[in-house]
Amino acid sequence: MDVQNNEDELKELIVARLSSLPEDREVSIGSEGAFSRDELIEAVRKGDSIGKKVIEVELNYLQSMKNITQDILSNE
Amino acid sequence: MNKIILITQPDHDFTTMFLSAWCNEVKVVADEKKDTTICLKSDRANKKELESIILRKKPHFILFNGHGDYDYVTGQNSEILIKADDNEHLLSGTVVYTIACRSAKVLGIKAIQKGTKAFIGYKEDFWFVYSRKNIKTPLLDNVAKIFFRCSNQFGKSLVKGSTVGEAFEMTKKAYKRAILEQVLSSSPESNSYLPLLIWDYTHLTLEGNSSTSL
Repeated sequence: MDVQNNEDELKELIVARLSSLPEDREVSIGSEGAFSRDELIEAVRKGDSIGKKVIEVELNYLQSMKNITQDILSNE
Repeated sequence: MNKIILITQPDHDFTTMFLSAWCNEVKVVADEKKDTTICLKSDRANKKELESIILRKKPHFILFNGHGDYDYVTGQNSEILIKADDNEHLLSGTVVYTIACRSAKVLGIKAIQKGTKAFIGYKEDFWFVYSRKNIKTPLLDNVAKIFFRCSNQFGKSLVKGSTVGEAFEMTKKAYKRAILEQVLSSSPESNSYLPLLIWDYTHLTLEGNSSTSL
């Protein structure tokens, strides 16, 4: 139940982030194609292959933010 | 000495249209240096023509724009141009940069084993954002610019005379600058760009000899 709640919370976090994209933007994911904001939001909620890619990118972002910030500040 | 630079520029979908348009920044630098640039645009970005040019012209630097997977890069209409355990030996003696998904992970390593001097690319998908209203004018897209200003840095630095390692570090720095700009931006959409920039930054990789140059 906790794992499911965490997954749902992560999805909603990602949806909130994607919602900040203006409507005319598209995101290119290489050979998978290009997707609008609403298509990506739907994909994340459905958890399909594109949604899983978006989630993976988000997790990478969360995990790396600390290291990248420290790296950038130490080089300033 | 005049260098020979080979660039593939497929344009069969929005992704390749943007990649190919933006890589002209590298061509501009090469022209300023009076290097010879051979551009395989649109239908010319095919396997037969690529292989012929590589064998005849022996380019010093090959810049692949297009789609890809772990063991290949593609050209026009996603035709496979170079595939691991097939024809990666053709890249022997060159420096290769692929702005294509995933190809650095397997093809990059195999190419180095077959004599490629250095192979720079992305180990996973290459992500970027663009605006639909700029589909016919990709170079006016300030959102796409955020991403391509980073990915183009390698080619520009290498052609200007940097070693592979120096050009790679400059590209990493370009990504860090872009990331910092988005962190400090008050624009809500920067929240969407940040994870993608960090993804591309994280998965940009260099295989082979970092001290080599053109």
